[in-house]
Amino acid sequence: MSSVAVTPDPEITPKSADASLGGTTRADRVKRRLTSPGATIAALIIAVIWTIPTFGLLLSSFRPAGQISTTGWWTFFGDPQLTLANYGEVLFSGSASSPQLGEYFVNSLAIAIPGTIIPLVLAALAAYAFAWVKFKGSSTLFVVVFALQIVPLQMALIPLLQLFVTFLQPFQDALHEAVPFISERQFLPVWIAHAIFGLPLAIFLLHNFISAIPADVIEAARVDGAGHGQIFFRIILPLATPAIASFAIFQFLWVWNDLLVALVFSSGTPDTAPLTQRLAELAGSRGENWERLTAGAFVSLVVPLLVFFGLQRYFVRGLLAGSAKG
Amino acid sequence: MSTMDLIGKVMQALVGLAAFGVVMALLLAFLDRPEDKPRMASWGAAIKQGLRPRVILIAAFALIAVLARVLYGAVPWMTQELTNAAILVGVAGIAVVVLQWLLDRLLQPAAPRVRSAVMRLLGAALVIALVILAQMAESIPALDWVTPALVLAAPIVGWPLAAALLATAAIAFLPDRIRRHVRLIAWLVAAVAVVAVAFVLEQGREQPIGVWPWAAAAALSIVGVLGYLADQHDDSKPMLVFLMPAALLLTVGLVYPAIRTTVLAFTDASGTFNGIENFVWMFTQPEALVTLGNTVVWVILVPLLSTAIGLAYAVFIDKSRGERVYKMLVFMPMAISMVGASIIWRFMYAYRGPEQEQIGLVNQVIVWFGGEPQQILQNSPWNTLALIVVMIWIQTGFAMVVLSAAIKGVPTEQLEAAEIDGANPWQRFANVTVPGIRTSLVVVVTTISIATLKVFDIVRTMTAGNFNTSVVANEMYTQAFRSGEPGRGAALALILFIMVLPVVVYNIRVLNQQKAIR
Amino acid sequence: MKHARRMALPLGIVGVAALALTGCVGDAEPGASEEPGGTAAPAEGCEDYADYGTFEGAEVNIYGTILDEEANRLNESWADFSECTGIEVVYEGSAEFEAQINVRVQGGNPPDLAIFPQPGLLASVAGTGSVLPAPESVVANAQEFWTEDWQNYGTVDGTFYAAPLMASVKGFVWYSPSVWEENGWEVPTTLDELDELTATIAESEVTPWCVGFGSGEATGWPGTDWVEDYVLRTAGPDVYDQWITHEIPFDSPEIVEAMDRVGDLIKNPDYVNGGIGDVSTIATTDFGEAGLPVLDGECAMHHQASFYEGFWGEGVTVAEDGDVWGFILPGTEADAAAVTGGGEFVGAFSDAEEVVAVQTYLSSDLWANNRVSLGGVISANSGLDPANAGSDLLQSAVETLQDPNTTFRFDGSDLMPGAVGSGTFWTGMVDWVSGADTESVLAQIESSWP
Repeated sequence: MSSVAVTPDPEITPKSADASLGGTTRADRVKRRLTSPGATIAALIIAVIWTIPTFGLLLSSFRPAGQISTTGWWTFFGDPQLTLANYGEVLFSGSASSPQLGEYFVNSLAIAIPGTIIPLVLAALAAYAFAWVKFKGSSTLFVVVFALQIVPLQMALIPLLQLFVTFLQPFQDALHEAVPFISERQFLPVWIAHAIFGLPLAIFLLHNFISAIPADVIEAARVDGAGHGQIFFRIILPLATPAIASFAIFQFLWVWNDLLVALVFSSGTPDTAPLTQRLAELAGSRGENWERLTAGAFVSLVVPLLVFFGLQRYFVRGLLAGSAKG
Repeated sequence: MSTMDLIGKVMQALVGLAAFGVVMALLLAFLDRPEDKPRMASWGAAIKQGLRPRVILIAAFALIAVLARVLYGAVPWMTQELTNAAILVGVAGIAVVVLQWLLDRLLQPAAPRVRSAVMRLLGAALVIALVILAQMAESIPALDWVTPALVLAAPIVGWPLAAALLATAAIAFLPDRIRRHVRLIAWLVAAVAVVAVAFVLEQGREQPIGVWPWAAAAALSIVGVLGYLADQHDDSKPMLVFLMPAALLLTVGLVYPAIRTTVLAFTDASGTFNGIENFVWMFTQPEALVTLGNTVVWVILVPLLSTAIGLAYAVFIDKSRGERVYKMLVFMPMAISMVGASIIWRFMYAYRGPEQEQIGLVNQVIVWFGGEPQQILQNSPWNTLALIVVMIWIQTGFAMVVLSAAIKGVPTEQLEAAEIDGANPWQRFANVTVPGIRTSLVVVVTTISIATLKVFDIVRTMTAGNFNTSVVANEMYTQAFRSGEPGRGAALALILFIMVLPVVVYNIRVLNQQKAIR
Repeated sequence: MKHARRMALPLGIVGVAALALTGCVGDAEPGASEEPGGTAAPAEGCEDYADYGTFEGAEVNIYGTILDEEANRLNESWADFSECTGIEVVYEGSAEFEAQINVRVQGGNPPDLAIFPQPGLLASVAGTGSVLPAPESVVANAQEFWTEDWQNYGTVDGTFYAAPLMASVKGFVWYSPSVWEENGWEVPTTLDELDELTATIAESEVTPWCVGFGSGEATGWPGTDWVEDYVLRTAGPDVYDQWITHEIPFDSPEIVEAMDRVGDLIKNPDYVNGGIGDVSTIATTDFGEAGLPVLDGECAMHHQASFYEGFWGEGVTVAEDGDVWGFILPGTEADAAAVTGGGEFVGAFSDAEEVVAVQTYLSSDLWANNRVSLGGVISANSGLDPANAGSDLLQSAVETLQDPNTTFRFDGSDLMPGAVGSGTFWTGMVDWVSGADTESVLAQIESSWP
C-alpha cells in the first residue's frame, strides 16, 4: 500500500509519460507541459504526507494488541511481527446479541445506497428548477436552501423523531405484520433523515453544475418544443452525470461514515444498525480497544474506496466539454 | 445471519427504492401536459397514448395478487395475512392505475382550471376518507395497527388540509390576481389551524402531542408559498413538480427545526423564556472568547489550505501517469470517518517523556532531528493548529476531486491560445485555468467553510475541548446534549449561523453575477 | 410528455418487479399466537421463573451503556428467563446513551426499560415526567435486597423509580505483588502510611504512581474519583454528602485540603508518571493504558475502580499472589472502611405486564446471582452469594459492599448536576493536573453550579 511502490519515479516521469502518451493530441500535450519535474516531486511529497497516517493505521491493524500502544508502528520495520488476530476479532467475534460484522455490513449498504439515491434524485430535480425554470422568488428560495446547510442536524433530531414515531411507525408495524420476515425495525426513517440532511448541499452543488450548462443548449431545445421534463431527462441528466456521480460519492461517504443519524433513527439492534455503530461498540464504552479500532477502520474503508474507484471515470470526463461543442 | 433476515433487508431496500421510483414517476407524469404540444387528434389516439405503461402496471399488480393466491397453502410461509395483503395491494394498484387513466382522459379536453379544481376536490375527498377511516380504525380488525397517536394526528392534519383543498378548489374561477392571494391565505390559515387544533386537543390529555404539529404547519405553509410562486406565470408551474418533494422534506426536517432552535435560544433549561440570558452566559464564561477565536481560525485556515493544497495537487497530477492512484491516496482520508481520523491523529501526536520510547510519529520525527518531544495536544495555541491539520487532511481530498474535474473542463483551445501568446505555465495557470474553474473554487471553499463550522467530532475525540481548543460547534453539542441546557446549545447554534452569513452573502453575489451574465 | 412517460415506465416496472418479489421468497415462521399471562405448569428447569408468568411473543426493549463482552453477559443473564417466560428481551447498548436517552424520550421513542449509569441522569430524565414510578413488585424487591442508601439513589423527589442493577467499587489501588515483595513494600493501612510508602518508592528505581485522566470526551473523570475518594476519607461522609448536594460550596476548605492531598501525590514530578513521562502526561494518557506500566514494574501503584480488572489483558493473573492485585485506598485511620462506588439503575418507560416482569426479575436476587456468576461485575444486592463472584478481587469487593461496617458513598460526580458532574468537574481536573492551582479550579467549578 506504500505510495512509493506504486507511483512513478519523479526522475523519469516526464519523459516516460510523454512516451506513453505518444499518440495523444496536441491539446493533451499543451496541458501536459503545465507539469514539470518540480510539480511531480511536489505531488509525490503531498501524496506521501497524506498517506503516512493511513499507512500507519494499516500497519498497526496487523500488529499484536500489546504492541500497538507501547511502541511506534515504524518499529515494525526493525522487528516485523504481524498478526491477523485483530481482524479475526473484528470480523468474527459474534454472539447472539451482537452477530458478526457481515450483518452490519449488509445494514450499512441497505442504508447507504437508498440514502444516496433518494437525495440525489430529489436534489437534481430541485437544482434544475432553480437553474432553469423561471419563477418569482427563485433566487430567494435558493438562498434559503443554501443557508439551510448550516442548521446543525443535532437540532433537527428531536422534531424529526417525533414525526417518524407518530406517522411512520404504525405503517412500519403494519408492514411487519403483513410480511413477518421484514422486521418492524426498518431502514425507512434513516433513509429519510439522510435525504433531508443531504439535500441542501446536494442542491447547492448540483445547481452550480447545472446552471453552468450553456443557455443556448437549453434555448435550442425549447425552440424545438421540448418541455421541462424532456429538457431535464434528455439534456440536463446526461450533461450533469459527472457532477451527479461526484456528489454520489460524497453523499455515500457521509452516509457510510455517519454515526449520529444512525444512533437516533436506526434501532441500534442488528436489524438496522450500521457498521459504524458496531465498530463504536467494539471499541469499548471508553474507546479502550485500540487494536479493534484499527482493524475496524480498515474494514469499513473498503467499500467507500471501491465506490470511489467505480465512479472515478466520471470525474475524468470533461465536465462541460461535450455540451458547448455538441 | 439468517437468510430470512437478509432477504428482509434486501427487500426493504428494493421495495423502498421501488416505491420511491413509483412516486417520482407519478409526479413526473404531471410534467409536459399535452397542451404544450399539438392536441391529440381523436379520442382513440388519446386513449392509445400512455397505454403501454399502464397495461404493464396492471399486469404486474394482477400478477402479485394471483401469485399470492396460488402460493397460499402451497408454501408454509405464505400466511393468510400475507396473502390478503398481497391481494389487497394488487387490487388497489389496478384500481389506482385505471382511475388515474380514466381521469386523465376525461380531463384532458377540459380547461386547466377545471382540471385543477377537480384534482383538488378528489384530493380533499381522499383526505376526508382517510381521516374518517382513522377514526373508525378501532372497530375494523384490519386496521388494528393504527396507533392512538395516529388516530389523534389524522384529524389534526386532515381537516385543515381538506379544508384548504376545498377552499382552493372553490375559487378556481376567480380572477387570477385575487385567486392567487386567496389561495396563499387559505394554505396559511390551514397551517395555523393545525397548530390551533393540536393545542385545543392537547388540553386535558396526559401525554403531550409533541412538537410535530408545528412541522406539519410548516409543510402546509410551504405548499401554499410554492403554489403562490408557481401561479405567477404559466411557465413557472413545472417548478412545483421539480421542487415540491425537496421543499417538503427540507421544511419539515430543517426549516422548522431552525425556527425552533431560534426560539429555544431564548429559553432556559426548563423551557421558559429568559431573554438574552443565554447570550450573556455565552460571552461571560471564561473561555468564550477563546472558543470564538478558535472557530474563526478554523474557518479561515481549513478552507484556504485545503483548497490551495487540493488545487495544487490536482494541477500537478493532471494528465500524469498514475493519476488515478495519486487521486486515491489523497482521497483516502475522506473515506475514513471523522472519529476514525481523529483517532489516527491522536496516535500521530502521542507523547511520551524524553527518556521513554516515542509511540507517536510526529514526536518521533522531532526526536530524530534532535528535538525535545512536545505535548502537541496540550500546548496552546499550537494544539488548535494540530487539530486543524486533521480537518485539512480530510478535506483536501474533497477539494482535489472537485477541482480536478473542473480543470479538465477548461477548454484546451484557451490554453493553446495562451501558449501561442507566449505565456509560461504559471501565467497560463493563473490567467486561464483559475478563471475557468472559478465557480468550482467558490463551491469548494464554501462547502469546506460550512463543514468546518459544523465540525465537532474532531475536537471532541481528540481533546474534548480541553486545553483551549474548543470550538463553537463542540460547545453547542456539549451544552445541548451533555449538560441538558438546550437553550444554551441553541444560542450557540445561532452564533454559528451568524458566522456563516458572510459566506452566504458572498455566494448570493456570485449567483447574481452569473444570472446577469446569462 | 412522451419522454417523461418513457422514464416513468422503467421506474414503474422496477417498482412492480420489486413488489412482486416480496411474494416469492423466504420461509418465515407462521405468526405465533399471542396470549399473555398464560398459566401453564412451568417447564423443566423453569421453576424459578414460574412467578413471572408466561408471555408468548412479547418483546421488551432495554437501552443502556453496557457494550460488547459485558453486553453479551447481560444477554446471557436473562436467557433462561426469556426461555421460560417467552419474553424476548432485546438489549441495545450505546456509548452515546447519556445524550441519546434524552433525544429518544423527547422524540417520543423511549425504550421499555433503560439502564441508567448515573443517578443524576435518572433524576434529570425522571424530571421530564416520562419515567414511570417503580411497580410494587420492584419496590418489594428493592426493600428486601438493598440498603436504604441504594434505594435512595433510585429515588427522585420522594418517588422510587429505579432499582439498582450492578455495582462497582471505586478507590482500588492496583499493584504488582511480586515487585512489592522484591522491594519489601507493605500494603499501607492509613493514608499517612501511603504517603510514606510513596516517598520510599520514589527513592527506588520505580516511579510510585501511574495516572491517566484521558477518556475521550469524558477526559478528567479519573481525577474526580481521586478527589471523591480523598474527600470521603479525610473530611468524612457527612461533609461528602453536603458537598455533592451543594449544601457547602464546592470550594470549601475541606475539599481544598483533600484535593491538595491528592496533588501532593500526583502533581509531584518525582512521584509520577511511570513509564509515560512527567506530570503533564496525566491529562492525555488514556486511563485504560495508564495502569499497564505496573505490570512492567515501571511504576508501583495505579488508582482505579474494580472494573480495571478487565483491562490488564489476557494472561495476567489478578490475585493476591498473582501478577497484579488491588487494595482499597485506606482511610485516615486503620480499619476505617469507607468506599466510593458506582452502579446502574433500571427505570421503566412502559407499564406493560411483560415490562414489569422483566423489571422485577432484574431487581431480584435471582438475577444478581445469575449475572455475577457469569463474571466481571458485582452487585450490592444483599441476596448475592459472594462465592458467585467471578474472581478473588470481586469477591472481596462484594464482601466490602455487604459488610455492615462499610461506609458506602456513591460516586459524587454521578450525583451532581450534569453541568458539573460531567462538565466542569471533568474539565477542572484536567486544568488542575495541567498546572492550575487548587483554589482557582475549585472556585471555577463552584461558579458553574447551576
